[in-house]
Amino acid sequence: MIPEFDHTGPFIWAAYAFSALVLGGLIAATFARASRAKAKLAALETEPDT
Amino acid sequence: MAILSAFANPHRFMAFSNALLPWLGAGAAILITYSIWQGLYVLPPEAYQGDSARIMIVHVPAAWLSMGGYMGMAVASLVWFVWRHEIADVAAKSMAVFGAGYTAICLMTGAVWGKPTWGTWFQWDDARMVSVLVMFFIYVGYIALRAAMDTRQKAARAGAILAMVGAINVPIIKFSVDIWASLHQDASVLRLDGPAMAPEFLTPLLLGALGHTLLFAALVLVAMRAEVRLRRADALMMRRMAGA
Repeated sequence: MIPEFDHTGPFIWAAYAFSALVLGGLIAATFARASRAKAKLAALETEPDT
Repeated sequence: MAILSAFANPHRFMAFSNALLPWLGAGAAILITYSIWQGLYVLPPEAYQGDSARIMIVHVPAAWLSMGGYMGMAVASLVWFVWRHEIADVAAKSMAVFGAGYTAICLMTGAVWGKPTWGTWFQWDDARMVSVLVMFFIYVGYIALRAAMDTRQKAARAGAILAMVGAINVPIIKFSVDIWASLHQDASVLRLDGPAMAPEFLTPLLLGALGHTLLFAALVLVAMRAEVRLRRADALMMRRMAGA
């Protein structure tokens, strides 16, 4: 159910949507980098020394 | 000091953060969901500002975390500068990205709250708005400065100096509304004589702020764990290249 607001409704939605976009982007980018770092280190640690 | 030394050990840090992360993540998810539900569905329209006051639920925690995150970065920089604990540099570097993100949220939500309330998105001669914008530029400058350095040691040193000097902006932001005439309202929660806000607004605001603080801490820990692994990988590669 979508709540109904006064004439400031678009500003409220813009604030919540922008926050969700920034935080969602930060979370996705952080976990993607963490996953790459884990894979890189695991590959190096399992690779035999030459 | 004993606590700092304990977490200066990367192995201990990785074990501790691994145990802490699920709790931080779960707490953040519950509290942020609760505050959004309150903000969009439960809070009544505010007496003077109407429904636009619902923006407070995202704007105020973002403002607190932009300043709190900066202070965390400055303290970590000081610890690195004095004791040269590698993990303190990792912490400072990791906090900058999320601090910048929360400052961007604070500026953007402040603009869309300001337009229907004050009739303007941004006021260039308003000390509160301009000092927060300056902090956003300091965060971005910190990230760019570190990236521009050719060694990790130089990046840590230049970043630490900028972070410590830039900390002067935090009390300027906090007290700007008391010192200079401002469109922005005075502090209504963090006041010497207690919060000037109805409990039905204050409770979801504080719980939401706690949720965002837990999310900030969780994201910083995930970023720090990635940075520790990348530095370990770099060290392994260097050792192999030296041995080849």
